[in-house]
Amino acid sequence: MSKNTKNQSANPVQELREIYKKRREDTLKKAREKAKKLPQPKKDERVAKPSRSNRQDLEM
Amino acid sequence: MSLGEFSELEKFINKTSLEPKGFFADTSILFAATYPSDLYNEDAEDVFKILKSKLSAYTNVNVKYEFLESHRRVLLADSLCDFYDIYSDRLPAMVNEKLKSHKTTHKKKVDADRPSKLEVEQQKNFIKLLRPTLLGERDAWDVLCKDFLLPQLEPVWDDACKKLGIVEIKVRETDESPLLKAKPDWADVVQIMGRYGIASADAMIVNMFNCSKINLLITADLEMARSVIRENCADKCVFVPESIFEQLQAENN
Repeated sequence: MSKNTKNQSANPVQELREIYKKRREDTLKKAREKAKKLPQPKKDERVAKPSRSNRQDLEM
Repeated sequence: MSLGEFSELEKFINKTSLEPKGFFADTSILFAATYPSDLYNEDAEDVFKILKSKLSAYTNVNVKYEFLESHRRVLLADSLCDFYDIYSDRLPAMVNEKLKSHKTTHKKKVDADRPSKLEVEQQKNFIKLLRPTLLGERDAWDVLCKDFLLPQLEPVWDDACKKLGIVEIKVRETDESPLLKAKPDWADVVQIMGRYGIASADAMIVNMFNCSKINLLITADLEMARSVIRENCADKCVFVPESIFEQLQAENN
């Protein structure tokens, strides 16, 4: 099936792509605004209880 | 039972009188239609351009469950990247390191049209990493979920229903649906699970298709198509993408 179908309009899948893209942009915009409102933490306030014993569980 | 490929779908529905006027859409085709990085996204686009104005897309609760679960996992994977972009200057080095690594791997998968869902173990590890990390008065996992995941996940099913013409077949003890010729039965579901070794949710989808008056199944899932073909119900037909069609044709010849 043709790659260029992604550029055609007026089809439901294309409309969904646009909806999701706009929703992601809106979500990120709101998230950025929330992040800006947070005070910059001091270095030692960033992690509540860092635990070295858990580090091995974090390998991904 | 007949098998067709998507490129022949328009010809098929123009010469076939389908009653009820609809097709059964499984999770794979609905997810493909709603996730641009899915391997079959463009195939799904062509299918729904042909079918949307002519036929309803019938599903059941299992399809809805699997659809939402798939979107939860891809959105979590995407959201971790977005979260990193926005909060990296506020996170400890160890957290940033893991998020950066995830972002790099995730981008490679998306660029290559490979599955990018977050795996269960990955999620557990990120919860362990982000729950103890504070952003103001909230922990980082809470921020990720409520500010990034939830706003995108919440409307995803309703959007799909509206745009793709999805109609959910609901079955209750007391209902007699005009779309069903037999009541779905758990014993039949277990039989299907046992015969083909497929998961219970998929077996319930196969069973619902068998029990329904709907004769056309659209799927991009090889195992789903295989199972339905082997059920060999009279008057039923399955349409699949070209690559799956070729594989099934080779198996059946």
